[in-house]
Amino acid sequence: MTQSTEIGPDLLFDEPAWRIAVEDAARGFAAALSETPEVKAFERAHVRFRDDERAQEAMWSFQEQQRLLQPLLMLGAASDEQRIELERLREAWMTEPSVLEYVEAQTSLSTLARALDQMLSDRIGLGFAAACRPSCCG
Amino acid sequence: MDVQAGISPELRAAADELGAALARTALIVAFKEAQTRLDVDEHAHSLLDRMAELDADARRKQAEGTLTQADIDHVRDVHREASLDPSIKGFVGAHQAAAAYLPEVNTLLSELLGWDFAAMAAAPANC
Repeated sequence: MTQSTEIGPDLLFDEPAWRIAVEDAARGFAAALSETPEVKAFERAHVRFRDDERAQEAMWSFQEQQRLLQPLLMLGAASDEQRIELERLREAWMTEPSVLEYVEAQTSLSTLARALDQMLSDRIGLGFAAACRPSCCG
Repeated sequence: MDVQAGISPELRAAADELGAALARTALIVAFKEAQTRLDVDEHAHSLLDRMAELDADARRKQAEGTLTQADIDHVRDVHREASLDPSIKGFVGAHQAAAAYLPEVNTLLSELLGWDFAAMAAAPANC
């Protein structure tokens, strides 16, 4: 067989119909997913973290120090004291209760999302999430 | 743990529905047809096998410092031949068209959810 597959006018004839069907199904999927305990926990944790001034301050301190040290880290020229201080700030941020809750909720939701992605990908024969990643080749 | 087994019937049905709707789109139908066409095309398979062998051989020779211009030209010729093969060309085109549509669907999902579904699915489980 030497015929190539082109997306010709015949295949695109009913494009609006299938687009509408996909959009409707996507709305149903998003609505059902929004009702899961994983999404509700993630949304709660997100709000709690966002409103936690102490955790936000810890995150800002770590990110600011990381930003300042980035050139030295890239060159391998950061001192032991600078590295230890950066690690201390990261630890301080990552052990805040609201951050721990957020990471845990995100991990659970990520696990669920991966399972759903697998279901969608199996159905279409193409990796759904993989196709949505930014390309390394632009 | 089997996560899929813990998915509620409502969410499973909604995921099935979305998967089925996507599978009915012209782009996915064309992709599957192109894949089937490629699967049964022996000439295309032999070209792909030859391309993989030559690529591996060229990498090995490059590491050993024995890669010649003739080797490079030969690899390029086979790549060119493969890119012009109707089954391979059709598969690549259909794959690109289908893959280009999926981010649109993810954008819609992400707008509805308030977070990026594909990025969440791609995130490591224990970040």
